[in-house]
Order: sequence, then structure tokens, then C-alpha cells
Amino acid sequence: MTGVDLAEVSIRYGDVVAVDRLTLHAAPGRVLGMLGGNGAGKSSTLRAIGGVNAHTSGRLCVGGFDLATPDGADAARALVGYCPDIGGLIAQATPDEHIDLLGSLRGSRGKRAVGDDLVERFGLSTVRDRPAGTFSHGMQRRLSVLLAVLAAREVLVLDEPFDGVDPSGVEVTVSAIRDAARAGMAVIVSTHLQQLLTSACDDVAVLVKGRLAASCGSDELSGPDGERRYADLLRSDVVEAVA
Amino acid sequence: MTGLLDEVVQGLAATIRLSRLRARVRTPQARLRARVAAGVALCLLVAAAATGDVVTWSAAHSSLASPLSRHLLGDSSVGLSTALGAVLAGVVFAPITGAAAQAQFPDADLAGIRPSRLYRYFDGLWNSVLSPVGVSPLLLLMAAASVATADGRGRATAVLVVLVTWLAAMLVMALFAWTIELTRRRWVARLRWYLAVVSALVAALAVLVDPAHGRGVFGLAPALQRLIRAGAADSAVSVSAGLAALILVAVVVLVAGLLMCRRTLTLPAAVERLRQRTGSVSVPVNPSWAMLTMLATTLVRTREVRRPIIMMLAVAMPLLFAWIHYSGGDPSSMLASVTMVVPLAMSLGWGVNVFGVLGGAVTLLLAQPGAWKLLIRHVVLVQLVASVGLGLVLMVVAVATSTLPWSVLPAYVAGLAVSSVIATGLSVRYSVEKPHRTRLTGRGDPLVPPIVGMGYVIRIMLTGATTGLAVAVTAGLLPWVAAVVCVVVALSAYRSWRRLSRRWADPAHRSWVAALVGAM
Repeated sequence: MTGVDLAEVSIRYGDVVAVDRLTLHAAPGRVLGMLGGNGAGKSSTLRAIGGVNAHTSGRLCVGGFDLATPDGADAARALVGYCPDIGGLIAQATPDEHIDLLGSLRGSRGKRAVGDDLVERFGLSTVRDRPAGTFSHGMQRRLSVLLAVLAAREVLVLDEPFDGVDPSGVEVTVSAIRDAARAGMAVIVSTHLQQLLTSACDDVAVLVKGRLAASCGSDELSGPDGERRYADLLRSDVVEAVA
Repeated sequence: MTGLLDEVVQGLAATIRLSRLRARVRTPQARLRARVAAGVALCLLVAAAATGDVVTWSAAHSSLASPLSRHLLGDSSVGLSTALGAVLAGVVFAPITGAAAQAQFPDADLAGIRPSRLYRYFDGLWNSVLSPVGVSPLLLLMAAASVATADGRGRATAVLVVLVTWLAAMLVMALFAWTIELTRRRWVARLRWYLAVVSALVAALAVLVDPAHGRGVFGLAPALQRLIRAGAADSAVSVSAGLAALILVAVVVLVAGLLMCRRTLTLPAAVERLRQRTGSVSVPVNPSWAMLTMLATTLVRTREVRRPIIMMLAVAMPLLFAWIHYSGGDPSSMLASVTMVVPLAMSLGWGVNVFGVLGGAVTLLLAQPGAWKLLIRHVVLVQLVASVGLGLVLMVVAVATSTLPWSVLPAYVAGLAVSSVIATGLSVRYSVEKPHRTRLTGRGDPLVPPIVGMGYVIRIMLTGATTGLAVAVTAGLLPWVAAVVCVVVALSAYRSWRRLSRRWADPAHRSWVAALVGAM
């Protein structure tokens, strides 16, 4: 397993540069947290790793497969379980249908028992035959994380998995992240909840205006000193923007 | 009354101001498109006003056109009845489906501006006038007036009469729409669907009970015919009296509509209780069948897609069949209607906004290996199968309940297939290339906004529906011509599919679509 490698990756939307020559590595068996202000480029990066967005330049490899080629991108998608920050569900489909559809598309219908176990763990067993569109925001996030965990073979990518989720949901998500890392997967998580991230992650990457501003162990951004350092990083961006 | 007048002035001013605002934020290309669309609409209107001359000329010069001219010209003409029947159906069913009185801006977007309440009345009216709901009745009435004055005498008066009739019909539609909305807000939120069933039953009963079986649209067609004849006979008094009566009706309906709108908007919006559906379908193991199952299930479970299709299948087409049957119309026009309408309805309900219907699911599917290829293929397949399948069912019903021989069916099925292929190709292309032009949010809203819908309807009617009908008609007379058209359509569809596939294969384009619709 080789995890995720980004070398000088840029993502542009027209004239807007969302990610600017980002170089990053997510190692197998470790959890990489992504921090940064709004519009820092976290979601764009994760969407590209998830195979949903195309990167404009640079080299992006997942499990050794280059996402720039169609075959490589499909091979990489087969390895990644991706939970987007918004959407990512079929509003008219039930959790059971989601699990079966993913199983069929990924050729892993034999993992149904694992899916059933995850449904129990994520507290969705009472709503497994109701359309996802009728769920609360928190329940939708739980289902989205569940599907990513179920789909992940070598890489688990979670974009804002704790958004709107209650404490028990946060606990289950953190344990799922830990389990995936223990199983040897490269896990990448983004959130604005700095304390939660530093406790759940091994390494942290801070993005500012699409660039890598800092890359360090999660302990370096924990505690009051870490919070101050992180705030300084974000503030430096504001000062630059105003200037 | 002074208060109402003040509000009317403020409402009109707000409508004009917001329309200008919308025009200002349009891109130069969109502005050009709007101007081209206005030009096309004007040309169509002029063409409709000249229909009488075309039919007369065709009757004189072509033996093929003679049966058509027999139906359209003279005292036994069904032109005016058909046009008025279509207008009446629109006036009743457009408000029920919610297609009438749509707003150009969602209410939430205007929360900070708070325009005068009656802005919604004029805005809804303006949107209806610019949408298929308003333009198609105008074209039909104009063509009917032209045919009713085929020799050219009294044409100007006939055009004036149908213009006033159309305006009155639009105002009646607005009044009906606001009455329904008031009733929904005050008493029954699910009123629309009860009304649809009741109206269909009442219309069916009225056709059965009426001695003329609806041929004269319950006395409306003869009255309008008399007025047009009076114009042709230069009877200024009769024409003035008739026009004055129509204008009086229009004014009364306008005031009633304004009062109804003002009263309605003092109440909070109706909340329609959703039935909590439970139960999962069995998803096949094969990835292709699994994708097909999920798309078909999504189509069936999305009420914004499902309901217009059910309305078309269970209400509109049977009513049209009954009307043609009892009014003594040409039975083959039932098959012609199916050839033209079913592919169009499927395109507007599903094809042009399939990514809007799927919403966040697009992100989920694009993250799965190989699913992006399956997605586009199956979107096309679902629409083609539904369009041809539903059309075929209706055609079988039409032949079984009429005097038509079964031998006419293959030609019309070929026409339906051609029409479906062209409509599907066009609509999925719109979805892939311009998913942002259709309304993607707002549960319960029609999927395609009025002005965009108008453009789509015109293009699909002028290409798919016309070619399909041409194949159906020529297949019986000149089979080799129909065969050549079918081959050309097949080649063109293949080329169009290749172009669409190339576009969809571009990861940057897929990213753009996913980002646009994935936020839902």
C-alpha cells in the first residue's frame, strides 16, 4: 500500500486557483487531518482524491495509480471511500439500497454483513428502509460516513464528517477512523473542529489560500500553544488578503 | 379601492424593476438567446396568423392536403374548437399542476427586498405569458382565427378577437391559480391533486352529457365563431359589443384575481404533509442492472417527475382521446398526439434536468469506479424505454378504443421511436451541457423554469415531434422515404451520442456538473 501522494497539484475553477501547487503525502496506517479556513482548498483537494474533481496540473496518485489517466482514475476510485462535505446521497434511496448499490458498483456485495454491522454501529438500524432525503442533517452525515467506510479499501477520505453530528455520532466516526488506520488504510479527515482533529489524527496539514502553510504532528497543534499557532497561521492569511 | 390601486401600481413597478434586474445580470450570450427566442416567437405568431392562407393554398394545390383542409376549412371546421379546447384545458390544468403563476425569483431570495405583495400576481402572469402555458394557446388561437377567415375577409378583427380572448384566458388562469393557492393555504394543502382527479372526472362527464359531446367546447366555439363572422361581415356593432363583453369579463377577472392574490399572501405558505414511504427495492448484483434499477426507482419516487407523467398518462391523453372520439375528429390524430407529446413530456420531466433530480447522488456515483460511464448510458436508456413504452401503451389504447385498424400502428410506433430518439438526445445534451439552466432546488417546483422550458419545447417540437410525425405519416404512403428518414435519424443520433460521450468523458466537465448539482 502506498497511500496518497500529491506532487505540485493545482486545481483551478476558471480564473480561481483553489489549490496551488500542493505537495502532500498520506501514509498507510496513519490519519492525516486537514485544517484551514473557508476557501482554503481542503474540499477541492479531497474531491480530487475521491475521484470526483479533476486536478488541473501536478501529479496525484492514490495507491500508486495516477488519477490523470482514465484507467488510473477508475483503479484509484476502487480503493477510495469518499465522504463529501455536502450531498453524496441519493435522496430517494434507503440506506439498504445505498449499501447494495455500492456493493454492486464495486463488486463487493459479499460485504453485506459488514454493511449491516456498520448500520448498527452508526445507529441507523431503525431507519434503514426510509429514503435518505427524509433524514435529519446529522443522520445524513452518518450515512455518508458509513458508505465511505464501507467502500474504502486502501484510502478513507472524510470531508467534514463531524458537521452537525451529535456526540454519539462523533464517537462512532472517530472509532471508525481509528479502525481504518489500524487496518492499514491511509485516512484523510478535514474539519474545522481543531481539538477533535488533533485528538483523532496522527499528522496535520494546514492549508492557507490553497497552499500548504504547515505540516506537522497533531500534537504540535494541540493545547493552548497549538491553538495560538493555528490562529496565527489563519490570521496571517487575513493580513495578506487585506494587504 | 384606492388601496388596491396603490398596491397594483407598486406591484407593477416591482415586477418591472425585478425583470430589468434579471435582464441586467444576464450574460451577453443569454441576452442574445433571449432576443433570438423573442424573434422566433414573433415569426411563429406571424406564421400562425397566416395559417388560413397556407391551408387554402394547400387545398387548392395538393391532393394530399385535401383531407386536412376538409377538417379545417368551412362550416365543419374543427380548428376553432380544437384551439378553444386546448385553451380551456390549459386554463383548468395549468393552475392545478402549478405551472401557472410561477415566480421568476424564489420567495427566499426576495426576503430582504420585500417587494409589494401584488408583485407576485404580475410576475406570475408575466411568466405564464412567456411560458408554453401562455404561448401555445396564443399560437393555437391565432392559427384558428386565421383558418376561420381563410379567404382573408375580417382577418384583422378575428386576430383582435382572439387576442382579447387569450388575454381573458390568461387572467382566468391566474384567478384560478390564486384561488387554488388560497384554498391550499387555508384548508387543504394537497388540494391540487384532489382537484386534478375531480376536474378530469367533471370534464369527462361534461363531454358525455353535452349533446354535441364537447365539439363546440360547451358553446364557447360557436359564440367566438359568430363574433369572427360578424367581423367578416363588417358588422361593427356586433363586433364592438362582443369585444366589450370580453374586455369586461377580463377586467372583472383581473380585479378578482388581484383580490384573491392579496388575500392569499397574507397567509403562510401551505405545508404539504409528506407520506413517509418505507421499504427498499432489491438492487441487482450486476453493476449495470443495479444502476438501471436505481435510476428507474429515482424517476418513480421523485414526485416532481412522476406527477406530470401520471397526469399526462392518466388524465390529459385519455381526455384528448375522449374529446377526439366524441367530437368526430380524425382518430389518427390520437396517435399523432402521442407521437408528439409523450417524448416531449418525458424530456421535460426527466431528460433536461436529470442531474438536478439526482442532486447529491451525482457526487456519490462519480466517486465509484466506472460508474460515470454507466450513469450517462442508463440515463439515456431509462428515458428512451419510458418514452417508447408509455407511448406504445397509449397508442394501443387509442387503436383499441377507436375504429382505426391495427395495421396503422407500426407506422406510428416508428414515428414515436424517431421522436423519442431525437427528444432524448436533445434533452440529455441540455442536461450535460447546461444543468444550471434548469431549476435545481425548491421541492415541489416544476423542474424547468418557464422561459427555459419555452425554448426547450420549441426546439424539441420543431425537431423530434415534427420528424416523428413526418415518419408516421409517410410510412404508410411512401415507406422508402420514412426508411431514409429513420436511417438519417439513427446516424445523427449516433453522432450526437459520440459528441455527448466525449463531453461527459472530460473529467473537468464532470467536476463542474457535480459541483453544480452536488450541493443539494
